[in-house]
Amino acid sequence: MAREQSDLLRGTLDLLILKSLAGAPMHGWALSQSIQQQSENFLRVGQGSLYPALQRLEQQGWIESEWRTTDQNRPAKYYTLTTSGRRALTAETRSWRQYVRAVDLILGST
Amino acid sequence: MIDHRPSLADRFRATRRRLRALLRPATTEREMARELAFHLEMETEHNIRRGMDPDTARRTARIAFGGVDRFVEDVRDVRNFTWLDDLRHDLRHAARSFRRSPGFTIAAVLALSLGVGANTAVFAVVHGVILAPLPFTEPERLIRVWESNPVQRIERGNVSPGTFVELRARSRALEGIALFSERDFLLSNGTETWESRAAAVSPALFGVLGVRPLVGGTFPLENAGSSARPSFDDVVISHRLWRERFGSAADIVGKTIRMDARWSYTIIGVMPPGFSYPTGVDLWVPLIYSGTLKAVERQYRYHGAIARVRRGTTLEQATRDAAGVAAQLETEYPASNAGWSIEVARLDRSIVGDTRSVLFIVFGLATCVLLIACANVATLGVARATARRHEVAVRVALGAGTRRLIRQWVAEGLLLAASGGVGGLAVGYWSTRLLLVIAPADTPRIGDIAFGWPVVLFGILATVAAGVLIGLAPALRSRDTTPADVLRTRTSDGRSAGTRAWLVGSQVALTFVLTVAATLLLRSFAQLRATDLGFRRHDVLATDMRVPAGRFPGPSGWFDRVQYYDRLMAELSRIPGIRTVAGTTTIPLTGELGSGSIWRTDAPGAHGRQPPTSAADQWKAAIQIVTPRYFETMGIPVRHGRGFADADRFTRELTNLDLPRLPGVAVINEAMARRFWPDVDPLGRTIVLFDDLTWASHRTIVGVVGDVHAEAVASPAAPTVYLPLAQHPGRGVSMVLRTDVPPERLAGSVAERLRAFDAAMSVSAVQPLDAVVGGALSRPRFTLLLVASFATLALVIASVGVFGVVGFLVTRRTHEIGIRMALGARPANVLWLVLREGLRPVVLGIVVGTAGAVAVAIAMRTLLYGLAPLDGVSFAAAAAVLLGSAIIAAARPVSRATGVDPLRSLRSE
Repeated sequence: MAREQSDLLRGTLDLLILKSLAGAPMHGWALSQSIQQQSENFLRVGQGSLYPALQRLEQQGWIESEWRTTDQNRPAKYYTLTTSGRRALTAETRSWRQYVRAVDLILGST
Repeated sequence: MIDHRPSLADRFRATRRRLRALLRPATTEREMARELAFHLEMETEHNIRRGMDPDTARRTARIAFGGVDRFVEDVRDVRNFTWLDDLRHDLRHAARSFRRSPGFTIAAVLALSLGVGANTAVFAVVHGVILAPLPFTEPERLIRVWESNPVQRIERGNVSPGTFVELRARSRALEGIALFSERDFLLSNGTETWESRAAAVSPALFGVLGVRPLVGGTFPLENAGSSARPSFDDVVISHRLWRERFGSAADIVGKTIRMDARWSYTIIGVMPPGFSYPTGVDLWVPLIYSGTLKAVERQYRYHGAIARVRRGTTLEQATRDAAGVAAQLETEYPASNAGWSIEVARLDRSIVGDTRSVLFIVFGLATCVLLIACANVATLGVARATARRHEVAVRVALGAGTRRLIRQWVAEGLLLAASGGVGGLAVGYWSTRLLLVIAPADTPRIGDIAFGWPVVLFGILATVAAGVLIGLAPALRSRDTTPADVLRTRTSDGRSAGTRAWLVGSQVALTFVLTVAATLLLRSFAQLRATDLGFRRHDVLATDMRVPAGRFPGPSGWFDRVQYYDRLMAELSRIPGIRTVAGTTTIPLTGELGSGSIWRTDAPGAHGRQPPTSAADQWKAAIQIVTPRYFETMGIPVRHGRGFADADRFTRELTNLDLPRLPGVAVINEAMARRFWPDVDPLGRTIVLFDDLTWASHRTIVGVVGDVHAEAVASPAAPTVYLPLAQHPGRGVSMVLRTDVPPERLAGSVAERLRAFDAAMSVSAVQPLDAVVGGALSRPRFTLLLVASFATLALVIASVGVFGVVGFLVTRRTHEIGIRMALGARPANVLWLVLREGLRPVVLGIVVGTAGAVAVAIAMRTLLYGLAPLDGVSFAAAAAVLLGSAIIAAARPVSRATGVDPLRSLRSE
């Protein structure tokens, strides 16, 4: 049904996480749901990729985490985009568009 | 693809998080578990909302989640500094494996503790004495200044006021220069009397050293204008004196202190804590030389000198500059300066002197001990590595990389070394305290020796180095291990045996160096002990006493002094068990003899007080003032003529006489006779002593006595002139007493009698002369003790190594030995077989160690007395001791080999 993590290009996941967090801070589960819904159930992020990716991004200083309570008053770890993360998102989005366009050009020319 | 650098702040936060994860792994793990649990719950609820029953929902969530453990590892991998995490893992692994072999661990930690401890303690001394800067401003610019005269065989001698004044005026390299002379005084603050060391110093001394007083001021400079001239009644005191004798009184400035019950000084300042230059001095009085100097002030060299070199001027420039001034003075003042050169050297070097080379040698030898300990632990480690080759092979088969394996061994080495290091710091701390107790009191800068941070840091560095060394050996060995090695046990064993033999060989080589060093020092010490000192040291009591100089005032005070000592000696000789009593200015081996200028009355140009024209006719000789019966009491043989008699005395009428004084008598030693009258009999010859001109016009030599090692056991007698106290009563004397009973039994009653005789007298010591001689040997004894304990330590450690390697050899060849014995080999053959192979590394180690031992022996040559550095006996003895210890260590495993039962050994295969 949905595309699994193995097919998801490494780095693409980082981009998707950054983009999703650009709207509002989210916890891991909400993030996976958000990516799944926004991609119209096409992309499904396995937890085995999601959490290591979150850790990696946090190491790089692009996102921050913090324990907060959810609407149902349950503690969850929320991730927020940092200033550096926002800059990275802009740059990454641009380079992704260039990449897609380049691939499109090649596919369209055949 | 994402390569934008995060901002500094974000990166900082990220690093902090990582560190926290590393330092508080439990918290981080708990958080991760909570986060994942939350995820599972959300997923389960989501599934329930989609219509699943709770069980299915949970199961589905779990399946979607994947293998929890696997990705927990994944998350961890990105989370941490991977290598540090691995290290923690390695260390945990290492700790587990040490718990399984406590015997090995205890032996290794003990060896390392002793190695690191010995090294750290010696480093504490090296640091305090050599490395730590002197407590003066920019100490590297401070120099000592001496005058030397090769013709008179004076090397780095004192400086004359004339030379000082000219250097101060002419030198462009020096920023300032100061003179100093030390003397012991009896001091009194009005309520108590004690003995202290005082120095007369140029007012510039404090400025030259760059030290300011804590309270009050110091002496104004001589040339700082007319308003502030230094007063001869001013005194600056040390912080210690202020604290101990004046209770750190705030109103100290202006108080008076009496010296030698006569002179009264006004305290004008207190120096900061710890300041004492010249070392041991507790108060300073001014020493002024300016304006026109008297001729004698150019001629006679009494003072030590210290100077500060201008910033940017090198020592070489200062040396050249001083040589230039010396050359000018030689031409301008030939009478006083012809033949004299000026020498300089850095102050720190000159304070430490010979101790420097001794310390470096001892430090090198201590390092040998640590290396031996490392090699030993590495040997044990290789043995363990062999025992664990199965484990290694399995790990290699499972894909552990070479680097991963090396890291594991180094981790084990580090863990061992760290335990050894902690033990070593403890051993080092206590050893340093012990060293300070047993170190000779005259060790320079002994007060600067402390177990401070630099020492701890050194201990830690030594520990880390040891850890890497220890780990590397088995690591390099197991580097090429392949799983197949597990099957080919024999080749693996062979290689391990090679590594172990190599390690044992290096231990033996280093131990040999230490053993040779210890043997050389031992033999040298035996020579020192056996040296004929020129006097009989047994059955003599020596006192160290002082009578206040102010006790004999007035013009006839000198005569009162003579009578005082006459009465004292009569009093002492009444003690039962005392055979003879005599007085001397210097007890042999307790300090330097005073020396002075001497000439023959018939030397060309000599007339009355006028010295001979040629500098070569002005001799320098040690001068010792003694009473009759001194030679008898000390057992110094009279070779020709006679000793002093009671009749050799000036009478009270002398005080009424004008110069020239009366003729007197003198006794010289054989060194003096050989030097100045090589071909003729000195008896009846007449001499003049410059320092003696107050007392005698000239002196007739009435006797020649045997030479005495008066200044140091190792230094032969200097030409010496003895004068009778009753004809030269300028200074006080200490008593020596020959006893009919063991001298220590009379020490108490002699001290009692002295104090009863005169309460103002200070008695520092009454002890057997034997103990005085022992004290003079404290420095070589100390060095010997240190090096011998290092050598013993090394011998024990190396013997354990030999024991191990031979035992291993026997175990490995039990099968072969069994076959040989079954085929008819006799126990003697087997013994030889094992011994030959087991001792091969020992013999090789001795051969290799000989090169190192030769180098160390040559470096030690200044420490050796009466034997050449390449002393064959010492080398042979050291080799024998080492070989003997090795054979003893090998005895048990070898006897096991000869006791092999052929049948059982073959069956065991």
